[in-house]
Amino acid sequence: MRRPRSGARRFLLYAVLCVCAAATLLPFLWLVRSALMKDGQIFKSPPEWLPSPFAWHNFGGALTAQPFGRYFLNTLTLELAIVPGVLFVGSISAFAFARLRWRGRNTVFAVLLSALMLPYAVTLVPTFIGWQYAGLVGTYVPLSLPAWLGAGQIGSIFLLRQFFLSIPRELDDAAYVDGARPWTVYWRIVLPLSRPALLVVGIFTFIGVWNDFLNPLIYLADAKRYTLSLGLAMFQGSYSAQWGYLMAASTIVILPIIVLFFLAQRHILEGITLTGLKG
Amino acid sequence: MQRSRLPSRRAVLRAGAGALLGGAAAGCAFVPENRAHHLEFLFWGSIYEDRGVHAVSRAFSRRPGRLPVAAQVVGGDYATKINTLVAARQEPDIAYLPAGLAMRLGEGGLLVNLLDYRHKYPQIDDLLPQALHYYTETAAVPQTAVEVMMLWYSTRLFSKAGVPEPPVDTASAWSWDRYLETCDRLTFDEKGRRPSEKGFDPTQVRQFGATAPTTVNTTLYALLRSNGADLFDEKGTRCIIDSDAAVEVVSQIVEMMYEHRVAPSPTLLTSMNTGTALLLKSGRVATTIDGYWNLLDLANAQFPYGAGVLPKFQEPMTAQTSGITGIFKRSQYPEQAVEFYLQMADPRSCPLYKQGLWMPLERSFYTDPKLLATWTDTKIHPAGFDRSTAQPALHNVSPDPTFRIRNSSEVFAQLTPALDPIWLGKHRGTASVRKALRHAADVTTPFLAGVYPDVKM
Amino acid sequence: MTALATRSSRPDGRRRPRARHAVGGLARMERRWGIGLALPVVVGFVLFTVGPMIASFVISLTDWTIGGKVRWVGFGNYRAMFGSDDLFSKSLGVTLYYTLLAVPLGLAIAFGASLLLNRDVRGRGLFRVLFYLPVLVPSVASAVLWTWVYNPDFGLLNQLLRAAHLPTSQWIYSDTMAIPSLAIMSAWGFGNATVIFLAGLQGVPRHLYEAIDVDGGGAWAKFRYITVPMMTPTIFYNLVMGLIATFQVFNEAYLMTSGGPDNATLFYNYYLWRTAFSDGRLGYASALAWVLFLIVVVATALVFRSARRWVYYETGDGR
Repeated sequence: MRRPRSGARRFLLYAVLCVCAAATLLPFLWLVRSALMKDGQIFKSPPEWLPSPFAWHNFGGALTAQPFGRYFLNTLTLELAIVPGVLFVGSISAFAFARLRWRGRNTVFAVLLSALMLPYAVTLVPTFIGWQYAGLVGTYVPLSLPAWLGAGQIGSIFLLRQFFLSIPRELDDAAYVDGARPWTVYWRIVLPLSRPALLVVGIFTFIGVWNDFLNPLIYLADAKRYTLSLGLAMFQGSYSAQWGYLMAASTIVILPIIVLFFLAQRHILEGITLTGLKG
Repeated sequence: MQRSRLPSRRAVLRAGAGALLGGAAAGCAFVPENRAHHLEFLFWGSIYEDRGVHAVSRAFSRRPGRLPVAAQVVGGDYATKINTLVAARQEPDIAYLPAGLAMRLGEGGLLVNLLDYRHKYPQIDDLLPQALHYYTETAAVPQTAVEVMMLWYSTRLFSKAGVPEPPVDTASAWSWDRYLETCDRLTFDEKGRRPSEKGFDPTQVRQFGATAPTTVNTTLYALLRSNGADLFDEKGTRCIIDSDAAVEVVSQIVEMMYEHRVAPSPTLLTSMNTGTALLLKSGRVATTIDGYWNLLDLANAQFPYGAGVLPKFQEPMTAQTSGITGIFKRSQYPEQAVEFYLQMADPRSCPLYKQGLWMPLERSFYTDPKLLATWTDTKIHPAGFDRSTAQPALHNVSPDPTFRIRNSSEVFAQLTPALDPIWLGKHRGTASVRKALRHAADVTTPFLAGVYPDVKM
Repeated sequence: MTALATRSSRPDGRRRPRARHAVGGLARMERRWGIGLALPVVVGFVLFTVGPMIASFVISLTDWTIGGKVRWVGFGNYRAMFGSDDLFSKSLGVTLYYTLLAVPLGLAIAFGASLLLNRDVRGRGLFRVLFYLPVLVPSVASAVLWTWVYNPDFGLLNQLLRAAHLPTSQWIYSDTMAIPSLAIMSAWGFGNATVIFLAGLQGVPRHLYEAIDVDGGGAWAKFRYITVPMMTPTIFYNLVMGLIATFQVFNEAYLMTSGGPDNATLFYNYYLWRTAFSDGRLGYASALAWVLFLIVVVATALVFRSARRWVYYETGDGR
């Protein structure tokens, strides 16, 4: 971390930060103020920023209109079934692609990347048919099992690979000279040095699962198994939306991930630097 | 190597074990459910509709010998869900279907022909002809309900301006000019000036008299038909939205926004659009042409509202639309599905009619005063509603053309965007509008692929 | 400093001298473990990507309409696409234009923000959360906000422009400004890339900066000769992922513009989705998907190829 020297530059830095923060805060403020407004006020033009009256009942109404407690537990179940898989499989395969030398690994990796490039809309139907043959449509298996095989997670693997590549090779070589096996290098050298990256992948995966709409929409067949994002979508009817409820429920639903992000960001950024290793 | 405050590997392992345990506890969600001996019903809609449907489902399942109904409501992207299910041949027993999809599935032989059951269930013969859609000469699917366009208004704003309220009889429907005149008296800028008065500030309008009826297959369609115009020719091979009669209607609607200034432009409307009920309640708009289904929201919004018949160009006319409720041939229980559908269609067993979401499908619920009262004689239906709704629904109605023409989703995907520049005010004056409409017709015509059979019961 | 600069810009790290160890045994072990650890992902790829990919390619050679009959049409869909489908070329143009605007803009903002947030400032954690917030606000909710921001009559932007006596715009309602408007809007979602940049910045060894201090270089020299070269793997990652994601942009059209006005924001993926799930033409949609796929593959391959010239890896043998 570098500390700007002169007072003027420091002031400038804060000014820029505050302007940017104001801009990025805008959507969230909009969400919260809408959550506290009656439907009529949300869309007043020109728009108003202060709710009058404060429509606190939006929160109660939204949360009781649907079984959000159940949706919350369902979503949490999915998180538990997916995030560890992504971290484990993502890191071992990134390790294989970044730190173990074998012929063809870059080609294989490039081919894997292509999974990101085929539009989802057309693989949806064949994939669904596959799960149907397996008899697992309606369960959480199609939503979680692919993550344990890296499917839909190539982006995470790519990210981890990029980070693993930035760790000096000499560390591995030294361990191999001492007779270490690749697993030891993975577990004792690469993983500890990549905690920020693992945390990033973990957080991104968590948020991705939290917000995923399309997969639960397609694969779930019973409202008892619905997730939070499906619950939110229920407030946008085909003809009219219950905006106050939608905004209130959205606010509640994103609060946990805001807190999670706040707790995690420190670790992402105050993790280990490589200074001590090379210097 | 610096020790960080990150979780240790042991903690990670522990978390992993916890995850597995948690997963096992919630493991039931990983095991397929046994859905045999259920009637699977897939539908879209608001939370109110969900409640209404579940009420009918429960009542249905309680009857002896009837299957439990597994009703699944889908919020958000219904099209993707239903299309995926159909593509995988994993259809539910019964489902709401968008018009284009329903006709295609019917033709593809995937849907039960409702007419096959008319001997067993005589109610089917009572269904309004415009609510049945024939995909072959002898086979048809029914609408979920009937929805006609009406002229909704805020009675408070009318009495405040001292303007007579819209008529509820088609016989005395307002002319378009009369409607514009009324809207002028209901439009005010921030200083209280009307559009026809000197110094009116169109950038600071407090209250508009109307919204522009620009939805091509419903509100615009009603007015086009009222002027004797149509979107497509009889055989469904040519788009004729550039006819003189159509040019007149479209020009008038453009003038309404940009010349008479009694209706907001589309850019303004999208930013204040909370749906019809709140537009009227908030006093941003005094009248608006929109579907019957808005009654449910209007009733919940709790303010004085009224409903009249649409203004006319020549003939009084409204448009009628709705989704389709389709029963899939793949269902093992088609007869139970038909019965369930008919129960949904009966205002005496389904609360959604009285609540103002749906209008009945059976003719007798319009013609028999006693039956008419079962769904219009409520606190939420405004005075004269039996006339303002029942008459047009039976006599002065043009069904949504989406049902009639083949390939409708692609056709409207061409036509609707081609009209955008017109509504945005880029074409003013009859000649310019005509040119733009000709262009719209030209880009749409190549996608027309004929019509479905026009069978009158 | 000169030494550092040469080292970091060395195009091919593979020429560095190899570490000394028994080559044969280690190479065999690395190969075995490498293939073994990559295996789950390869299996997943075959099951969940190759399978559906082949299926969708076969489907693209038919005229399958959901619920209708299926006929083999060979490359007919592809011919129709390039022959007579105006919306295909329109949507491709729209998407390319958007990609060219949104990807560099997003990268620049995300990188700039990460440099700011990496400073030792008070309330850093709070700022990081604030910068990340737009990613978390559901797009349905932010779509409403942006519709207001871009409203020509009383929207935030035009109000600001009017106050500054600058010309106003129709923004998303203008066929020329709609795409730039959406690109600007997309810049708000820079949070993910910023987090990745920040994590990458932690990996830049501090002793390199100290070397610049010793050489008497300033902040610019540090940025130009240390930060940027050391961050190239991360920049590369964000560039590739941004490119791939932006080519498949969908939500903005789906939630805000429905492709309008007059198809000005008809993104390729939105057109594809409409073809598949509104028109039900799965055959044609699959053909559309394969063309987009090939375009993205070529674009990504070009970036990968260029990476040899500008991406620097510590291990020297990534590509």
